[in-house]
Amino acid sequence: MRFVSTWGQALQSFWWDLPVGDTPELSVGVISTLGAAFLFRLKRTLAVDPVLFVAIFVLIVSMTRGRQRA
Amino acid sequence: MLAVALSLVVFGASAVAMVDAQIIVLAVGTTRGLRSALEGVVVATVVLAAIVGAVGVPLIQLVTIPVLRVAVATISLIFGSSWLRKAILHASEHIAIHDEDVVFENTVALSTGQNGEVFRRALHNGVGSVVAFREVILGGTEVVLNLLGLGASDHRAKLACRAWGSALVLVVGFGFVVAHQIPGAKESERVLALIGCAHPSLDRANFLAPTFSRQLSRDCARTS
Repeated sequence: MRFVSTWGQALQSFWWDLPVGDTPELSVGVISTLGAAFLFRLKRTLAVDPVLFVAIFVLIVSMTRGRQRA
Repeated sequence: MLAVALSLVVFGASAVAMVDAQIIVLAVGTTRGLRSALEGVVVATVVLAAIVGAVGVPLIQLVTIPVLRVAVATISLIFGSSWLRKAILHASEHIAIHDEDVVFENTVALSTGQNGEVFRRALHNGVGSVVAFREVILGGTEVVLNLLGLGASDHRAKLACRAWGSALVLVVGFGFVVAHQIPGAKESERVLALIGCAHPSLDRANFLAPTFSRQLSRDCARTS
């Protein structure tokens, strides 16, 4: 039972650390951006064009946060 | 001609992914004990088989291509952004470039200090297994994606499986030879450092290091 619990926690930690880890703002930003793009997929200008700029904005926000923590 | 090209590509891609995982498993095996490394390998193999069996078939049959594309784009963008962010912070010297000597000295100091016994107990509490598990499951996922992507795209899955099998035999054989050549932890670190000079897999080891340290600190704090 202890073995299963240890490995359950390890699995949970693995799947959390892999996409989220120390940079939750990146995951939230990327999922929100692509989710919005998917919702507006029928209007190409609204869906596709801003994605690049929003992705760069999310990266800058994350880097600023990383610089403050360093 | 196409068959030869396909075999070579699958062989190369699978071998690289498996060598990635093998280096870390060997490091865990020689420094933390073979038992914990093998435990991680076995659990990762079972989990990977379960994921492929349970998720793979419904994924192909039920999920539409646009949804799959969005999912793949999301994952790629998350990983790509985090690597780019880390590279920029390294280049602007806001975070230090990983210094293996300092890490090694700190680890030795910790293991011989007041918390030495706690530290050693934590290492045997499954941390080595978790590191081996992570590497095998990441490398295994790469291999499965290579096999499916390259083999299925040209309806030559059997040929792709044969190329993967050859790579598996070669990599595992190479692993046995290397494992017999390494008598102790200190030598294994030298071999790994040499391989790391020419191989990008140690980047991934560095990527895993913070998680490894965090988990270790938590274990030490909990038991002390």
